[in-house]
Amino acid sequence: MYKIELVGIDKAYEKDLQVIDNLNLKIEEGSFTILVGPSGCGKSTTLRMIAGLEQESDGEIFISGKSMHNIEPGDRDIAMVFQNYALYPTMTVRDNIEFGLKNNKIPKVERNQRIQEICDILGISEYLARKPQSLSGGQRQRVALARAMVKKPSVFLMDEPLSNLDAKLRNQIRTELIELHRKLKTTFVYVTHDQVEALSMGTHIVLLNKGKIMQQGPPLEIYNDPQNIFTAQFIGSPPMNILHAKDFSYLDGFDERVEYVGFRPEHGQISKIRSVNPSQEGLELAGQINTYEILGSEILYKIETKYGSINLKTFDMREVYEGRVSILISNDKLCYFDRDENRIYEKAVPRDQKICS
Amino acid sequence: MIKKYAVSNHSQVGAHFDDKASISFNMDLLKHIGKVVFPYGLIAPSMMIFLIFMIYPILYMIYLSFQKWNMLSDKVFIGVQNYDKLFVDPDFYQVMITTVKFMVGTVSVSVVLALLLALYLNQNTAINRFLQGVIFAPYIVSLVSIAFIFMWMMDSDLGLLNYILNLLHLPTVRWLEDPKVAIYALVLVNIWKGVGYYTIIFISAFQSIPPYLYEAAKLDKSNRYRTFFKITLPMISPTLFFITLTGIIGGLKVFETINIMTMGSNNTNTLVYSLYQYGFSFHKIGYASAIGVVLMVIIGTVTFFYFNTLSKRVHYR
Repeated sequence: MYKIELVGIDKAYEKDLQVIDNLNLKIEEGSFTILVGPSGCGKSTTLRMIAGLEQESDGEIFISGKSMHNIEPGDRDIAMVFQNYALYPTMTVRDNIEFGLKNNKIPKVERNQRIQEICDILGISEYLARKPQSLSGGQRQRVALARAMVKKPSVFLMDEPLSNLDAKLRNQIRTELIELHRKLKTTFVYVTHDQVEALSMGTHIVLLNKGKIMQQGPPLEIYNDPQNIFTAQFIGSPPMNILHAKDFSYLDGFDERVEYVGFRPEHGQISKIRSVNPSQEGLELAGQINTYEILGSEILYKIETKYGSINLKTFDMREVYEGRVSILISNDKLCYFDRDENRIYEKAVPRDQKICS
Repeated sequence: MIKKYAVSNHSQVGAHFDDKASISFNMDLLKHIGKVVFPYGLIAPSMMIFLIFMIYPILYMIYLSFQKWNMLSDKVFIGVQNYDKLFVDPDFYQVMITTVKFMVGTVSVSVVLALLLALYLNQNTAINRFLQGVIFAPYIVSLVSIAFIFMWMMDSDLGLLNYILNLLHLPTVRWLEDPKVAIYALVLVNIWKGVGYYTIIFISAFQSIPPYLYEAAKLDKSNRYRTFFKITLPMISPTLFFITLTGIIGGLKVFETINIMTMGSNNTNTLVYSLYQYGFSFHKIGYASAIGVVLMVIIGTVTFFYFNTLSKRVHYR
């Protein structure tokens, strides 16, 4: 059974302002589902509709098989962590965590026990008497998590909870969240615009654009097998290189529908001489290195070719290339897309290898 | 700093007198003095105004409270006789009670009413914006005009209020003539005038509360009353604190309404009005000053205790 089901969800703020159009989404019990997409894609709105903070214009939401129509946020057996934490500034940390429990009329003994338990897990026991404004960003984040966890909800909703933290803390809490999910085995629904967060944390990624699902699946599938150019470019950094296929003579007569050809930056082999490995079949490009960035374990190149600028990533730290180079992308690493930017899956084997320079 | 200059000067004297060093030393000292004096120079104008118009009158009032003076005679020092007379005067206690009645009535009803109105008018709809304007209007009208209009409305025989009561077959009220009612009639006028102002301030305080707190509260299954008492009210506590304090001070100092509507008759005499009567009708300046001093002490004490007991519970962001 699915934990959360969205059936034909529409959301329009005004008549002509359709944010979400006929969204159908199934979220499995115990999954760490990431809603990811550029800003304005409707991911936060979707989350807020699941939470009941936003009313869907049409369609129905089910949590644990029950329709959530006209059910108050407090009665949905969910907890939410907000981007800005939304801690009650007038209450102490303890009161913040306890507020929901008191409203749910949980007896005092159990309240104390739960708070103790959660605070030990998150390491915030020493701040219980303090007010949120005297805490650092990371501490506040933990209090917000504690407030959500202490309710023992069946679903955790998180709306970009890490975006207000500095980079180092973000990585740390990211790891903690993954551990937390393993430990709690509850359903997490997590909204982010950061594809790194999506890939690293999620067990299931839902990529949204303009209120529509572009692709969903496990992180590796999304990365390795993009179904459209949007996915190919949004997931992965730098994005997949996309070139116009018609520019390449070697694809002539191959498949009429092919409009674009793409490859990931790490799949291009770079070399000074033409043809890195003549025995290998693939697309070969010649270009001029514009800039390179040494990132420690990898080097990013920006290369100008006849067909447009491309990004390349190498893990070969022995040599830094400059000037004119040639790039080889083997056939099995090439992705083909049609005019509507959707993937063409038929095995694409060009007639013969030609050097395009 | 000064010490350092002195030491360096001394060492120069020891090693023959050096003209150049001496001059530069004097310049340094002047610069130093300039630096210290300059900020005081900058605040001097406003300090002068403050001293002349605030501090001096207060001190002069205290001085006058120990004198017998009718503005024409010579001032005669009579020690604490004015205070002695004041504290045994039963009228004075009546005046105090009336003042407190007026203050408590005005502040409590205004604040509660304004909170309720603000809650009601908080939603930003066209009609609410209009109503906000309407409710604020009495505040910009002169209290004197309001007092006259209410005098007419509260007239026992020809007034609008009694006319309405008559229509409803209810017993009429002698609004400004009945000693039991008159002070509350005045409270009513002041509430009517002030409540719009309080409401607008409360609305702006409500609107400064971030909406995500209410969303978090919804997810925490907080009902309306708990949300109001646990989130809204604490969040606006600085505003509430300020409004109440200024209300208390304003209430203790009430004058115009009484001067126009009842002239202190029918148990409506308050501290400031009786001060005015003693000072400018009976020309007992010393006695009036003593009342002024008592009023100042009362307001000072109330403010002090109010700050000390409540400010700890106020949440400042």
